[in-house]
Amino acid sequence: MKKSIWTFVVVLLLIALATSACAPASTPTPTPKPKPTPTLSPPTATPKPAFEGPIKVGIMTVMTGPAASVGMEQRNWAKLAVDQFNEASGIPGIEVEMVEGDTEFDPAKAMLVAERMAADSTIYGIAGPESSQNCAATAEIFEKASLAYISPSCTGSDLSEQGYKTFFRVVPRDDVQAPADAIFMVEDLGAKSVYIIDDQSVYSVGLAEEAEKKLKELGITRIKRESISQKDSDFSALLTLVKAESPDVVFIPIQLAAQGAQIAKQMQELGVKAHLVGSDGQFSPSDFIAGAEGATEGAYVSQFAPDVHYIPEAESAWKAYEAQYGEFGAYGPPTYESMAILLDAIKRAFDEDGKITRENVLREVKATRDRLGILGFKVTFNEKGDATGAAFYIFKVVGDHFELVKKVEME
Amino acid sequence: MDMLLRQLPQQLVNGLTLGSVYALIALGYSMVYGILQLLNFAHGEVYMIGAFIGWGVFALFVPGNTLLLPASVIILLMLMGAMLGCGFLGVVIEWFAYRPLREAPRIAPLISALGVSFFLQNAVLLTMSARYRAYRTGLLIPRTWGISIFGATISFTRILVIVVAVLLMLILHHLVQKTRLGKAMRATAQDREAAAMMGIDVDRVIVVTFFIGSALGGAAGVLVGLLFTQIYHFMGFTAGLKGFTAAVCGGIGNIPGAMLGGFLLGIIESIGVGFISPRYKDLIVFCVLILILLLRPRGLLGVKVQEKV
Repeated sequence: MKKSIWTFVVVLLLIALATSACAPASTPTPTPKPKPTPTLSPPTATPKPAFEGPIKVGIMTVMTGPAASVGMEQRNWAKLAVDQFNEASGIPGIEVEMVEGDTEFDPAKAMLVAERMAADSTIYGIAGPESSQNCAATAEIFEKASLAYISPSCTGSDLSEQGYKTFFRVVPRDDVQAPADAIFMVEDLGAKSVYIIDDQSVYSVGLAEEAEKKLKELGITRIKRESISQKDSDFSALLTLVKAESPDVVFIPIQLAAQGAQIAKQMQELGVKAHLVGSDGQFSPSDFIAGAEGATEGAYVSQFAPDVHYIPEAESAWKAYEAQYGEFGAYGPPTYESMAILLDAIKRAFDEDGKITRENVLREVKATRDRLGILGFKVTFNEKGDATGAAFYIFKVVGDHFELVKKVEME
Repeated sequence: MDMLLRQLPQQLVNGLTLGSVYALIALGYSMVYGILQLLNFAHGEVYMIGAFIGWGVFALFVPGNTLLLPASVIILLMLMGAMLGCGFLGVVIEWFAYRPLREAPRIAPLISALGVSFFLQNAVLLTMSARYRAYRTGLLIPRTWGISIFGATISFTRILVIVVAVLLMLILHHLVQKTRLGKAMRATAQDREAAAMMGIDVDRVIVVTFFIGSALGGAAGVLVGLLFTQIYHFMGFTAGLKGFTAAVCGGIGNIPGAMLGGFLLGIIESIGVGFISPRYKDLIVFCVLILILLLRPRGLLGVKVQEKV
């Protein structure tokens, strides 16, 4: 059946080409483009058939490689959102399917996945990608396909400054996070000297630069900056250098919490006495607290999402999650939120138009107003796709959990 | 400058620990290469699996936060478990992936090795998930234990790593130089066919070589686990590369060379970080590799192998 349609299209194309070639030479306009699309689409004009689906949504995150633990948590939370939506029969009679795309934390791979998702016309929206570098790499592809994508974890500031219409996120931006961290270090911790260690990723370097800038503004002159690689597991040589500088604060805006824990342990081993401050990448109870065996006690971490255990609206969600998948860190709940917002938009699009297209889903995502999800604040997307009301939270490691010490809201 | 000199002792200690681990990994590469002229790229993964076995043994004897046995016994069991497990794994890899290709062109076993490497990595990924697993070394050896000399802090864990690594190397040296088995290994390395003609069971020698090399890799995995405490399925890649580099620096196929190369690499890496920049850590290491290969193409202790006619 499919084959015959294709043969038909090819024949049509050939005819179109032949006729255009035969056309009198007096028309110098470029060869009229044959329009095969109308013949491809099913006859919609005759008695309007009910929309039958399938409806697919995508999740794009890192599911293999060193950052996969974070990505799998995101994937599981997204799946939970889709399952709950289907259980409540969000779109009556049609099960929403979730398509998984593994970015491998690699922009080149993320682009391939994005192309594949964009090519599947039954995918109406995406939760993800997971990181700033992958959001940047895939933006053009989604824009061309008018495919709405809501990132649950990319915080790079300039992502929403490029004028893309399809980009949304439920987390605040790094131009809030880095200055908030810097102000916290200087005003709350009384730092006079800071050692910044980044991991050379787009995310990390961006944060390190913003923080350095803000620290200088605040009058801190003793600032040192060094880099590690995401593959490292031994930092003793670097920390020996740090010890020689004896800074008040060691700031680690890096992506992998296991590395942060290792830095903390080796700081203790070498006797580096400084406050340890990390960015959102470090917010992982299993890696940064349990994995550090007490070495991170008293360390500070800024995070774009609250601990949902303390948010009443989130209770049923996290209980369902823990029953099915076990414990989780900070990256999961925003992914649930992203996916839930997307599914809500799909539902509204369907209710209003009786059918679902990428355009009406995009319209409805954009129209999200004051939606109180599980993150404890009302999501409204501004014209850039940033969620107003999103905030950064600074936590302190106390015993086996993170305790909130400060909240910094986005303007 | 004063500050740099002050951190020199500490960087030497850092380098020495790192180096002893590199040396153990390098030995596995070097021994196999010496006998089969095969670059066993799956060796990094064997090391990774050793780390996981050690972690499993630890979890077995330390449920929750209480030690079921004295710490020293647990560490010994972890090492033995990993060495035995990895030794057998090495033997299986040889039997499964290399033996059928022994007479094939040299590129074939190399590709087979890469295949094994991917297979092991993904097997661990699928069974253990991609999460980092933490060695809770602090329960066995408190992190604050250690001694200070010349301003360098040497934690007890580091001492343990160096001592165990050096001990294993001494045992290996004795085995290769002083026993009949060692003699058979050396003979096989020199000329496989001739050794076979002299009545040496070459297959057995190869199996034993794989066993020992992989067991050392497994021990390195446990030591790294104890020292750096975070293990994951991809850790074998970088470590394998460094071990391989160490083997090449020292002269691949040469056992003392592998040890020398490992220590040298570890120390250069630490000093490089301290005196140049952490950013160029790997760059420095590989520049040294290139330099050594330019000056001594067969590595520091490598000797010119006679061409077989």
